[in-house]
Amino acid sequence: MKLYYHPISINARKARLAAVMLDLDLDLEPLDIAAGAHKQPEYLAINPNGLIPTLDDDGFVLWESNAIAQYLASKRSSPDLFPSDPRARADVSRWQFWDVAHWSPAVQTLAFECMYKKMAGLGAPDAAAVDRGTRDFHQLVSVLDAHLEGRAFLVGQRLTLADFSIAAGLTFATPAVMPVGGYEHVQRWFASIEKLDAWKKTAPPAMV
Amino acid sequence: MKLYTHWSFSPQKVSFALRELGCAAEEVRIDLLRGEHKTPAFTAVNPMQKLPVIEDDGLVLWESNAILAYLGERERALWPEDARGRADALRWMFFEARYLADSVGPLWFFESVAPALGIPAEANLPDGTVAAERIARGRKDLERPLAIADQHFARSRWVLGDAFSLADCSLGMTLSALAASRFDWTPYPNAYAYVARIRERAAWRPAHPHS
Repeated sequence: MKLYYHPISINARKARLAAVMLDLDLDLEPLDIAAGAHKQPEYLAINPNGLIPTLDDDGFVLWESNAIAQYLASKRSSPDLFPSDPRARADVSRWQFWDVAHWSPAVQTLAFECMYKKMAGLGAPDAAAVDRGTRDFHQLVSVLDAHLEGRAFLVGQRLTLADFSIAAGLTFATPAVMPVGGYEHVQRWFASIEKLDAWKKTAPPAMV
Repeated sequence: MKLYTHWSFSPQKVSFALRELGCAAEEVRIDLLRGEHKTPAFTAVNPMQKLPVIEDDGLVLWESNAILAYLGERERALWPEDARGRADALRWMFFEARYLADSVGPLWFFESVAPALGIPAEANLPDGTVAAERIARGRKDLERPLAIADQHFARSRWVLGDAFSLADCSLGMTLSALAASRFDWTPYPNAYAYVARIRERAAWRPAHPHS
């Protein structure tokens, strides 16, 4: 199985976290984003969206990191990471859809404006975008914090793909100045994720 | 099963799915225009203050696509049973959630619904965003995803190929809502043809105030 990825890609991390946790061998193929490799015809033929990650499992090509994570879990029939019971499974999917519809857009805005632009020399943060991203982040992290009160994990009693999908968004919480201060349940939960071997193994290289 | 719903296209994905599956649900109408999604009572049901939500014997589930996937698994109908089929369906539903839904929303509301309800075209949204800016951004942001969808539906009758599935209740309803706006489909004839196929289904109903 080949995974097209980039070391600082949050979305690629979601797929890689699942792979490491499930002890699945992924042939990691890095894409030179800075050189525009993800927009070249060769890559667009594989993933017409020109985004990462993309999984190629012996000709079965899959994009959308959360779908990839679910598919990897099915390869090991891991009932814990991705339950087979329809209700628990729906609960995991719910958080993954919350991730793509709400959480990821907010954290990506803040990561781009407050961290990536500086790294890539793309100019100062757009104040309006930072305002919007910060406001959205507060609304969303409040929902997350309320949910995590009295819970060790997002779904049920164990770590699932839901925890990986949401935690990945906090990869650059510090350099991108994401306002997690004061959200004690999120901080406690995230601290437990940071201790995982899979989290450490998929960490981006230090850049800022 | 209880479904919290409204005539907007996101909850209507679930109504469409329930009709396709031949399933019943008790409908609770939450009037978004009257702000009924912001009440403490509804916030207790869904802290995100959005629709749709289902309550099924103790399970409270929000996120329309998670609901569709759940219905497919529970009914074991209109939903793949193999891992690759499921991954394929979920891939397109994650794509819909991230790249279609948010951009279609303002186009559908301001260009299709607002005229029908006599709401002025130049309006501001509750968060202060100017509607015209949001619409312009939506149109721009839809270019690439529509091109992807068009390329897909040139080869594929339904989202998953020859077989209709609950993934079509998601993409079909959202693209149909887009087709009710003034969006220009000229570059996307295959995606437009897909919308026409969706609208021919007996279970499909348009999503608007008079449906």
